[in-house]
Amino acid sequence: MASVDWRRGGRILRSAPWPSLLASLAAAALLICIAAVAHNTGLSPPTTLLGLAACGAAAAYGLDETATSVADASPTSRQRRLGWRMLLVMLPMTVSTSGLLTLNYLDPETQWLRLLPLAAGAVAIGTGLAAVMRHHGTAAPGDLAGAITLVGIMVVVAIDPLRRWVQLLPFGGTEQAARSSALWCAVVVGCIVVTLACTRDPGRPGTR
Amino acid sequence: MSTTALPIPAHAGERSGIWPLARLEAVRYARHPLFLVGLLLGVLAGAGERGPIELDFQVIPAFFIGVFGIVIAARLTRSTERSRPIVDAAPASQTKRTAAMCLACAVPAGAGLALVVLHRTFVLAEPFPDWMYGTWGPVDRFIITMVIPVIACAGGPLLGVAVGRWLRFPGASLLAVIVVVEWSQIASYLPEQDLDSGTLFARALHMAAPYTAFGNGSGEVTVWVRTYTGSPAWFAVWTLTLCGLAVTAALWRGAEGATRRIVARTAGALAAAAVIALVMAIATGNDAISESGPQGTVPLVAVPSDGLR
Repeated sequence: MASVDWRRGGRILRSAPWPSLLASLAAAALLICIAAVAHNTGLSPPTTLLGLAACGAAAAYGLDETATSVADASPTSRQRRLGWRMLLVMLPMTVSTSGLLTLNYLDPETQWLRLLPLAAGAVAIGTGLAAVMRHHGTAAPGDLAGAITLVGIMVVVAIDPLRRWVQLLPFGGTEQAARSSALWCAVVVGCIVVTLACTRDPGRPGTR
Repeated sequence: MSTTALPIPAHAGERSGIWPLARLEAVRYARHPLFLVGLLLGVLAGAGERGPIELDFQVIPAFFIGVFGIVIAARLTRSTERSRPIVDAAPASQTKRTAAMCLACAVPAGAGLALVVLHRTFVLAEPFPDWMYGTWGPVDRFIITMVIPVIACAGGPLLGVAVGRWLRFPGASLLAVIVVVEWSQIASYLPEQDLDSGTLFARALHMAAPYTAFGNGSGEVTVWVRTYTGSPAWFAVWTLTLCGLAVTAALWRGAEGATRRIVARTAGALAAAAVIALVMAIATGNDAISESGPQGTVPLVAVPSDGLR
């Protein structure tokens, strides 16, 4: 029974849009490498932010399923397929975490690891947005959801609309960083709830 | 009995047929949700004197209309691919459809123009002191604040059309956005990096980008303005030629016979013009960065590595 499950999971993972996912991950990794090479310059923070946003965009491809209508007719529920696809979300998270660890090693003064909640938030936003778009009938939302995530995160962090209360980039004092981390954790939790709510099977309650 | 040969009116129809198609594409562009969101954000950021300093205001329309435009235009261009068998049966050739899409890029250009005019009215109501424009003269100021942003608003979508025509894989527009943003980011604020901005190499890198900055200021309350190197007028010509090259790249796909030859010749001429404009942008204009404040302007020999004073 377990082997059947693994085989099914393998098929679900194989059907993911690997070229797009890997291409966007490569772009994100390249950006973080540029930031690491230029770690002592003013170029590093915006490039890192762009890299983390690109990781979020890559996560959006994880839910692409061009044959959704066929898959929905199969006995494997959307939740189960989502569960397997969540393994793909680990890839952008791994890229952003290892990138931030490298940056923190090269430049410990900046405390790059404070950006980890932002990285998780970017990945969660990408996944959540893709889930919402899938729920509204787009079988492969990765392209648009990825672009919106990338541009949206950059815009929101650049404008910083809540800066009176909390800065979206968790640099600066400890209190500011704690508030910012709390905000990004709330974003992650919100996106998880939205993703789960949007992956209910259409009109088929109680499927496995 | 004699026969009379009449000219085939198809040619005239072919030429005039582009405008209805362009109008159709323009309406599709104007109704795209991402364009409307970008325009709204641009208006919010441009209505007033908030945000970046006046010399760097061009980043607002360039980002919200130009960068968003890459994604919008690529998606609109690719959207006809799904119904290709039907579209191909229509009397409009692929070249004509691409040209119509390129003409539709007048919508983001117009939106960019409206955005800079809107911002200008706020600035005219409460003008900035002269030193906030650094060492730039009236003509350069006009080009930086009014011309370059509009070209960027057209250039992004035109690049999007080329991306949509050539790159068919999902995520192509996303990669184009990343490349353009990172390239511009590196080039724009190069004088703030750990590099002697007066060298020919640094000046060349600063200008050889689809977007560049001509100045930067201090934090929330501006107490000094740094004027960067290069010539805004020639940079405008350079970006204009890049727009032309994007159009020719998009038109090249699917072009045949005489059209292909015309497109190739135009691309060659534009490439030559681009090289000349770039060389002139690097060689003329400001040759070193300087810092202006209420007290006056001082040339800056070297900028600290963190870009901060």
